[in-house]
Amino acid sequence: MAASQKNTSYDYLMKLLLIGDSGVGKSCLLLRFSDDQFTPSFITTIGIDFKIRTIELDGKRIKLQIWDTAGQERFRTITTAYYRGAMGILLVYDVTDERSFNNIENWYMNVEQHASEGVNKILIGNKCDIEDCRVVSQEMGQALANKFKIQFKETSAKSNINVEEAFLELASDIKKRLLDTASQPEHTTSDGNININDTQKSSTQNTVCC
Amino acid sequence: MASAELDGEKFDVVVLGTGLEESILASSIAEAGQTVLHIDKNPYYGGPNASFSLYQLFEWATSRRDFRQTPLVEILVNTGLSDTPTFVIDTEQPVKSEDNDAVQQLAQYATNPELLPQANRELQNMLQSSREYAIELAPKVALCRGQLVELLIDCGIGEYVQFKGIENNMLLHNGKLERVPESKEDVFASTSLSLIEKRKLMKLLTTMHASTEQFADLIEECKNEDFEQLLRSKFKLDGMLLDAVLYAVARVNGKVDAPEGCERVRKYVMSIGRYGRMAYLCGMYGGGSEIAQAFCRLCAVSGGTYILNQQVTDITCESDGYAIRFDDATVKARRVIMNPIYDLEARTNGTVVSRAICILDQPVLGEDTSAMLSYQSHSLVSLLYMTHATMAVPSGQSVIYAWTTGSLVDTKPLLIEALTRTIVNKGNPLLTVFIEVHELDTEHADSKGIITTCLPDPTIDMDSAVSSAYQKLAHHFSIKQ
Repeated sequence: MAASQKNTSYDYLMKLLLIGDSGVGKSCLLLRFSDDQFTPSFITTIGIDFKIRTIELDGKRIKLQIWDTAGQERFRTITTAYYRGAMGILLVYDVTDERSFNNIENWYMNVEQHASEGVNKILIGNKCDIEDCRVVSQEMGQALANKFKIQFKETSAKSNINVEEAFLELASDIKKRLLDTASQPEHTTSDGNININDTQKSSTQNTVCC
Repeated sequence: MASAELDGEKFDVVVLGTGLEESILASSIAEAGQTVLHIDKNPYYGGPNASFSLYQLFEWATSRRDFRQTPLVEILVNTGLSDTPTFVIDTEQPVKSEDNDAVQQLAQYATNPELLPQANRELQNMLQSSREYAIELAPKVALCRGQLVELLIDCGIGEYVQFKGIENNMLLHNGKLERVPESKEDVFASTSLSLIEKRKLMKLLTTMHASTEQFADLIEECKNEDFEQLLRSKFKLDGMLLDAVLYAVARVNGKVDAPEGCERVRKYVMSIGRYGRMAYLCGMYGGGSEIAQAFCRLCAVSGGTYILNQQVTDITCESDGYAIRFDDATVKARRVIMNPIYDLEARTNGTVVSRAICILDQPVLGEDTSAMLSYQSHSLVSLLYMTHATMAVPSGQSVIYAWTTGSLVDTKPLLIEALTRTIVNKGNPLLTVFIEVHELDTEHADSKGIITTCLPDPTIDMDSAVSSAYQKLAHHFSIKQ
């Protein structure tokens, strides 16, 4: 997915996904990063499809399209279509909930099964502001990330710790993989796909000219 | 089990099945503010619109499918088109093949491709890249100015669902593949049409492209006529031109009234130019399944709850709605919408569609393209050609889908003929799957007041699922589109 010609306000579009158990704070991380907001009353994800934020990396404007699970993680019914075209994935657990940490292995397998090969991943231990209730140590998180050979960050959407850094690090890794090493120009990845919302091309008059 | 958590919960609507129509209904109802529980008995989305990896396709054929709806599946491995099937998987004789345990064998191969005999090296290779296939049970495309495209744009899915244009619309005519000229430019530039033929086609295109008022006049004028008759008398079409308009454009199967035929041609003509020179779009990764999943996601965004791999054991009427039972839970709903396969008492109603899926070792109609074809014999055969361009098969291969109404026993020769004439000698079938799909009756469900959805019909686009869903939304839920 690259920038279409109609919108030149960015150089590159990246699709990122949030994955992890219900209640680990995926939507809160997303809202913190996209809108710098925090809503503690969030119970389950209702109403968030995806959010957009444009960042700048090494002089390139990168539009991040970040997708939330829409609550479909509750019974592990994430659609396979969710993974299509994803370039980066944030695997999120809650440092105060051991089960969510143990489930990361399953989510990781899910990603391996459905996402495209070589997709960048980062492990996120959220809610690191709640030290009293912590059950997953930073070392355990780091060890798991090492096992998968992926990046790791502890974050707090509530206290705004490391949220920005986590997203930017992932985006920067994707940029390294896709842009800095690729030989092809940036605007070619969409391969002539048609976006049906591009209606400015639409003209029924095209065919009545002669 | 997932459902235990939901025991005792109440929903406005429970939807059973995640096919395209059910998914459109679920998302529209959830968006209108009602609570929705959406369930599929399979571990995947899409129901009859599902798209599969090769492994999943074998798994579906041997164990996952509903034998009432698809009683017969024949699989031909690397043996050309006319040879006897390698595997036959049907209800009466669950296993009947040269090796006598086809089901077990296929399942084994699917998990351990290296077990395959040397002779089946091609199948071995195919299974090793199983994930690079997106094989559809009921392949369908989208008309550029059809209801589906409008709905996708309106509901926001259009922002991310990916399509490719179908560059070629072809007619199998007198044993030859003929490209159907679509726009006036096409007609103008054509070298195969005579000047008189060009003039006739121009007249047709101009008439069908007329203003709404002028077109309404035409409809009024021809309201008692037959479409073919109108094309012959008013537009003086015959031969290949007549067949092209009847079958490749209006996709007539049997008799069609003139107004209906004209509407179809108009929709087609109006679709050209919206996204380029083609009238139809082909979805990536097996469009029907991806679009159904997008509607499910939309429903979830509006608060819908999703469970897959969930059997429904019983649905009973209660004073204020329904009780839906699972192994370990019961939920209540005011309304139930379901695909008829969820009604254990439903039987076949006599309507049958036979389908062929033919995976080829070469991109026989071009590498980076897709095409739609039609072949008129005693009934209309529709064909879709797809390649790696829409992620249907690995690069270097292609897939041709062919389908028509009627049982496999009656239509298999016709399907084989249509496939053979399309492939000519440009490639070899690696794997061919024949499927017979039966519609189920809805009498029992109707008697309980349960709303039932339709199977994917033999039309080539997805608009029938959309209009069927719209009717139900308006009639049962007062949701107007």
